[in-house]
Amino acid sequence: MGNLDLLLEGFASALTAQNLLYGLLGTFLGTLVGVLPGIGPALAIALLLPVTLSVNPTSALIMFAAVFYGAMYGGSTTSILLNTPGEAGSVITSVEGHKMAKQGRAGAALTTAALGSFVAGLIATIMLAAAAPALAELALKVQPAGYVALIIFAFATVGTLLGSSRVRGLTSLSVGLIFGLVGADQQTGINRLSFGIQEATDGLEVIVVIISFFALGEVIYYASRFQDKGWQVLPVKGKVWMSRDDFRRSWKPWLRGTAIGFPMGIIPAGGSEIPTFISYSVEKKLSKNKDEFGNGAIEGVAGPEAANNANAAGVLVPLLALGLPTSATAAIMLVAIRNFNIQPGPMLFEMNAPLVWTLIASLFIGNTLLLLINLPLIRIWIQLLQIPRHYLYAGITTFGLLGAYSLNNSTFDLRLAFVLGFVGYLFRRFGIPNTPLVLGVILGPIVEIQFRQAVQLSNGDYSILVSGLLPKVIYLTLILVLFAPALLKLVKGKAGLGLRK
Amino acid sequence: MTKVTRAVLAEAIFAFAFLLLGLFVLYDAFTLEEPGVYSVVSPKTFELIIGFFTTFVALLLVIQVLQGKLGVAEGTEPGSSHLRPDIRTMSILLASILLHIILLEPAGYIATASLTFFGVAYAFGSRKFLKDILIAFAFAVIVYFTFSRGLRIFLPDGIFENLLGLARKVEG
Repeated sequence: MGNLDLLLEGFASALTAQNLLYGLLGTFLGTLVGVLPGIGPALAIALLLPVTLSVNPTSALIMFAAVFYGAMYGGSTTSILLNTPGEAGSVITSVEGHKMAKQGRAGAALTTAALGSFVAGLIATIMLAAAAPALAELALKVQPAGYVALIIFAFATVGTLLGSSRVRGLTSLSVGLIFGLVGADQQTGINRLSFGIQEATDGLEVIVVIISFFALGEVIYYASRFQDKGWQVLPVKGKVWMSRDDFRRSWKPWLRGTAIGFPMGIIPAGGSEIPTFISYSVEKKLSKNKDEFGNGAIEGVAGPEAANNANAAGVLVPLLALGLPTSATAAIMLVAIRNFNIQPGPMLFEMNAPLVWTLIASLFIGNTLLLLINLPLIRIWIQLLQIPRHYLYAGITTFGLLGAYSLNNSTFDLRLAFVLGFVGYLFRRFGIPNTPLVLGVILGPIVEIQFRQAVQLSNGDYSILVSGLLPKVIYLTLILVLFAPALLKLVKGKAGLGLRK
Repeated sequence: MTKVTRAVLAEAIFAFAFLLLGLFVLYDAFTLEEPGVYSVVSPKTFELIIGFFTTFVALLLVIQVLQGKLGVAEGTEPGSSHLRPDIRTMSILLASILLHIILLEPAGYIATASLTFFGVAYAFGSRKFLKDILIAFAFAVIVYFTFSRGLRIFLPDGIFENLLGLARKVEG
């Protein structure tokens, strides 16, 4: 059966009344949580994970797809109206979009973001449907040593390219790897770092780690900076819709943003910052109204917003085909999918074909529902931004604790959340990013399995890790990526000096 | 102490604690019991790798901090991180979370969640007690109802659940 037939079957199983209802609920909840200031898509999905615990896998996947797009969209709303980007990918949106809002063009900014996200989501999901099975087929040939190389590549790029400080990114990564070690070893049952605590031998619950760092840590951080003045919501004046001129200026950036965002999501290098930055500078270069950039140019919202959404869909390709998440959001999707005893990876398309295609169909449905629901409801979502800060934080804290408890009905998870929440505060306080930590917790145990398999295949010869074409290519690329910027600077610096003489 | 040296000190303590964590992982790896079953790669190997990696990164962090290259919290101006944290607000918040941990199973979800919600709102400066209590209670009841009844996710029952007649009937 061809992939198209499989996709159509996916649609058939996704498009039942019950599933559509879950899709609607997911879109609603995703936007609702995503639009709350300080909550990015990763946290929104983590908080809503318990909601799907009791639902059947198909409906849950549909709900997740809807939550995913809903939370992304909610995030751009806060960026534009509050200038508080919930994630790295919305930083650019907040730069240009907030300026537009200040000029009273919030409506146009929100609409171009929504339409751009829809267009990007639609095209990117089509490309996802084409690319993921092909990549999975290729991935079947990848040996354990190749997997180890891929994961190390993801670690290195996410750990060092994100944020302002390499050392701090690696700090986050190593704490995540240590969290991943806790508990009984999968192969021998030997307990590592569990201090004789019974609950710890099962390992730390990834969702608890995420809720602690993203929700509790964040709230504690805001508490520590309570004397700072709050944010100000910019009003949406006039009509919400875009003018003909806005539309004329937006559609090309949408397409270009998609073209930039999607391929960069597929590379297991993580980070939605870079594609949005590239999209922004491309639009700036191509624009006839260069002086508008930095003062609220609609192209500067349309392009990066499309790039961000396409990138998020691109990240799902390595997630589904290789089982390799490269963003915090994708990492949480992996945990969510695993909850249903489905293991993303090359075998996924063979073992669970109906379910994967249902997920891909759900992404189309979620994306469409989002547009249908949210364009008319923009004004209602904006009302949510008016929630007083104290109720907002009270809600995030209580809901986060609920999520931590309901995974295992255990107060151990709550105590863990308390301690990790405080560590999360320290991370926030000292400028240590969260994403590498999440990848470390989730991919640490996976890389250990692959590492062991590789060395077992070679009967204990560790050189297998760097033999074969794929590992060699990956490690060489990694060295280039890590050291090329420094080299370029050196060469350019010398050339610059030469010119001045 | 000046603001800047205090900031360096605070971050240096953090960096040293991180270094200790790395050393502890190494210690744990070296004292790991021998597995009863044979495996080509023992559980020690990977823990050692992570331990050495962490210790190495921690040393780099310690050096950076001592050189005065401090971390900048996202969304703040460089330099403003030096502000003294608001201990009072933080304490009330942390106490509200602790209460949740202690009371949840004995007192039931609605009572505990209301208290936590109220406590956090109080920590963040809200002083409209009656309104806050009502909102906290409504929030807890709605969450309890949606999760426990609607989604069939277990939440501990207590006084309010029994009073409202919401608690699961013990069958048998």
